[in-house]
Amino acid sequence: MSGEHLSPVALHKALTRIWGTPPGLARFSAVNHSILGKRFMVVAMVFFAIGGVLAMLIRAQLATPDSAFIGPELYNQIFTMHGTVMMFLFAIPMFEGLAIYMLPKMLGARDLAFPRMTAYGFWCYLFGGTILIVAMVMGYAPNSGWFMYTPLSSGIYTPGINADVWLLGITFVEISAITAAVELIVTILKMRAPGMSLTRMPIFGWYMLVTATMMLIGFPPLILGSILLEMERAFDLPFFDPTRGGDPLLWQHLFWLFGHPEVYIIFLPAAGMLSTIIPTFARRPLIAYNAIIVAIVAMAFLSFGLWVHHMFTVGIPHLALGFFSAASALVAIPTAVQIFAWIGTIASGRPRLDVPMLYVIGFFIVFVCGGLTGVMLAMVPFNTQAHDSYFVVAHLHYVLVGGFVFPMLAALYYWLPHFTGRSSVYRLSVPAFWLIIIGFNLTFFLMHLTGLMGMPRRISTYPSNWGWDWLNLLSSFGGFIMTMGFALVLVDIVMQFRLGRRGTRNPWDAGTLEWAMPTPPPDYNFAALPAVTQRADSLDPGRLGNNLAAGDGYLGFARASRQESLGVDMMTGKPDQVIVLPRRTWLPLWTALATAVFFLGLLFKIYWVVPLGALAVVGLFLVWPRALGQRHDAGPIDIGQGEAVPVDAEVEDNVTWWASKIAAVADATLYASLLFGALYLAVVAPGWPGQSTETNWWPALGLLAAFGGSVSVRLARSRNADGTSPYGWLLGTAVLAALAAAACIVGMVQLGDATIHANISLRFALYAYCAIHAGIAMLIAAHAAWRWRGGYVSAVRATSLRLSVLWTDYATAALIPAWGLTLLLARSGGAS
Amino acid sequence: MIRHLWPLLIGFSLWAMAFTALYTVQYLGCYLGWSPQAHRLALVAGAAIAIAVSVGVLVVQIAYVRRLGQATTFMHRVGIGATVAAIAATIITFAPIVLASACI
Repeated sequence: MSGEHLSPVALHKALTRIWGTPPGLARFSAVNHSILGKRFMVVAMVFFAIGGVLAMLIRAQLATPDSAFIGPELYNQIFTMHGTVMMFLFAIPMFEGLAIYMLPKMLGARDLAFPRMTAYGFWCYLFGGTILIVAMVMGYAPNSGWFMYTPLSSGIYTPGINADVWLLGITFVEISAITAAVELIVTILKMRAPGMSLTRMPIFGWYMLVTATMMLIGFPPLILGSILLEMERAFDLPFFDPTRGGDPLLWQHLFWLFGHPEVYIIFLPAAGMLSTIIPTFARRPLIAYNAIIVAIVAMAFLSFGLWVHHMFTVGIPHLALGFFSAASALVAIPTAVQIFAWIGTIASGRPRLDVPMLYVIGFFIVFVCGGLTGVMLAMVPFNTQAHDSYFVVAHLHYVLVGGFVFPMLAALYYWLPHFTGRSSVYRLSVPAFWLIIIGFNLTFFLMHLTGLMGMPRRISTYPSNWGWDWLNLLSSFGGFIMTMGFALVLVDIVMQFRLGRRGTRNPWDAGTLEWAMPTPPPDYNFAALPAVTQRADSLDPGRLGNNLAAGDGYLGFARASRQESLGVDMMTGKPDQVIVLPRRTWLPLWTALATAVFFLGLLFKIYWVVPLGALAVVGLFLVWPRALGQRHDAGPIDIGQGEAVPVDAEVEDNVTWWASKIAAVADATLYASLLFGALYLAVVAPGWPGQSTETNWWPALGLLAAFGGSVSVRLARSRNADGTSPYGWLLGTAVLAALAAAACIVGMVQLGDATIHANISLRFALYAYCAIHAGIAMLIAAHAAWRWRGGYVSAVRATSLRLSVLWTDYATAALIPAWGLTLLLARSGGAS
Repeated sequence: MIRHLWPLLIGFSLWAMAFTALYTVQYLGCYLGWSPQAHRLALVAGAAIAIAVSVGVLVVQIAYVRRLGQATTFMHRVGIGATVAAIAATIITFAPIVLASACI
């Protein structure tokens, strides 16, 4: 099966016909990564503007002492929403959007591995964020601080739906983070250009690979914490209630297990952008490439070992404080390695100053200051003094604005010609930079002083005789100057879109692949995929771009109206499969709407709607693969350059398989967090009575059934490999998994009243987790049987069966610690 | 795949395992009421094992690279750097074991 070779213009038209998204309502069915990446960024900028307005309200309130501009109740909502919007609705989605737009182009692919998942993630982000903003406009915004500490955020002290809006809205938004993490990892590992080994990958790819892995492990503890807190608020299960065996500190551990890595999750993509931009403007390759990779890996690991520095004052023993203090100081070293590598690159190159470099210089000044105060705060004695003061507010803004906003603005100006195909107007960008950097330092440098003078965070007003008046007034003044700068940036961007001159293809003379295409880019990115023979940040995009546009490369043809890109060996970059990507569809939008029904049902406590929403989500997801796959074994097909490889459905090492394994890692992290929570409460929480209870045997029966499922699905796989029917064994697997789920549910019922003590509610949560996963195993086995009946499964095309093995084994493995903890918790007390 | 990335990940994976284990031992020792001497001994032993294992892994990595000679890959070279960094991190992170009180 080979494609039709065409002239460059005819090839462009043919590929546009296949990959394009028509205008009008059809845009809602778009799954193309360029469209969705831009949507992510535009929506993130809208949320940034909303967060900025909230910041202005905060500064207006604090500008003068004894201010009556906003009452304390509204102020609580405003500062909570400012933090929430900036962290969850701006920072993370903004870099996700840039990565979604840019990574396939930098790696030499035509799209991400799971275009429909990109679209689903976008809609979840939009709907979840909208829930938060609408709630704020209606006066029901969260008001317990962006980290939602219990017991303040528990039902007793925050009745009403304010806290539920945060818990459910953020969990809804985080779906997009997890989906983005999975597909970014798979895309980086499997969808690079032929010849682009890991060692030839542009440095931004390394940064995003590490960041996405951190997201995969960092977000599940927060999702779990949000689920547990919502269960406490909605159903009175006392996970965080110290009077019934819970502990508010468990929330803090779960939150900061996410919250501190989150800082590096935000910083690392920005650092990746800097590592891309600086060599271009220094006109020499990045120095210390190897040391930077070691530094990124070190940061990723260390960032998970310092979450307790947010909890230094809660009464943790000195030794534990010592561990986390040392790790907190230590993380400055890999950061400094990168800073020195960038400075060295500039110093040893022939740097030229342009607008992106202005923001790079701003980054150096602001971020280094934030890093130094970070080392100060890593020291327990100083932290104890400065805790919860404006010093911390100053520090976190220096780190986050310095480490994310300045690099992001540099990246925006750097890649704006790629988005628009136009060159910058530049009349506004320079004054905008000066307004931002002067305004920022005026606002936040002074907060170090107000903090050291004792001003606590989160207060809505202060008396006039404590010496904070002028500092606060100047901070507010600086805040408004900074806002003017951001407004000018916005105007500048709009002007470039509207008035910028048509620019050249590679205005900065960069060496990365995203410039080897017309700008703005076509829907298919590359008419042919390049063969990479050197490190992919020192290429010649001008020469390459012309060759690729003429179809000179891999897949330089249109074949059977299929969206095709290449999959490669993860290490060497050798092509090993043709990945056939799904075309545009409304399914992601419908699925996200059904997900919204599920979350809104929970939010408004209309519980009969919740299972309907869940069923609709599951049903729609089961429809997704309907149009995928093939009913016959095609064997290797032509990919150009005299090579032929099989399609992804006929390869074991395909993207679906990798995505499932990676998703299982995120899932296992959530479960590990739950197990940690159970052990933590058993060991640390107050109010754990010592009487033993009767052993609940139902989970053990569930384990037996699930184990039977694992055996059955292996027999199905074995029969399929022999070319005989796996149908009966697959149905048997589904039945056994259903029995396991049922046993877990009966076990939950047998526990009795789960509101009495955290001991029981923990077991309830463990069994619920296992029941859900046994249910997933049942669905996947039944789905594999359905696919086999439809002719989509053969001895070669066996992905459905391998997924069934994976998730049945996962359900079995989950039941083992659940059963172990059942024995442990039953003996450590609590009435059953 | 993971097999190829191990040289890069092994050092800090050991650091992460040691961190989790020692943090757990610190809490469990307090919960179970171990004597301060026994508790500190357990922690020091744990840290020593972590450092020894990491150094052992580094030695293996260096020997492997020497054996490969010209065939050494980028991942092996970078992996040695990562393991050295992880050993330094292990020593610094667990240094408080010899100083700080475990349960107060």
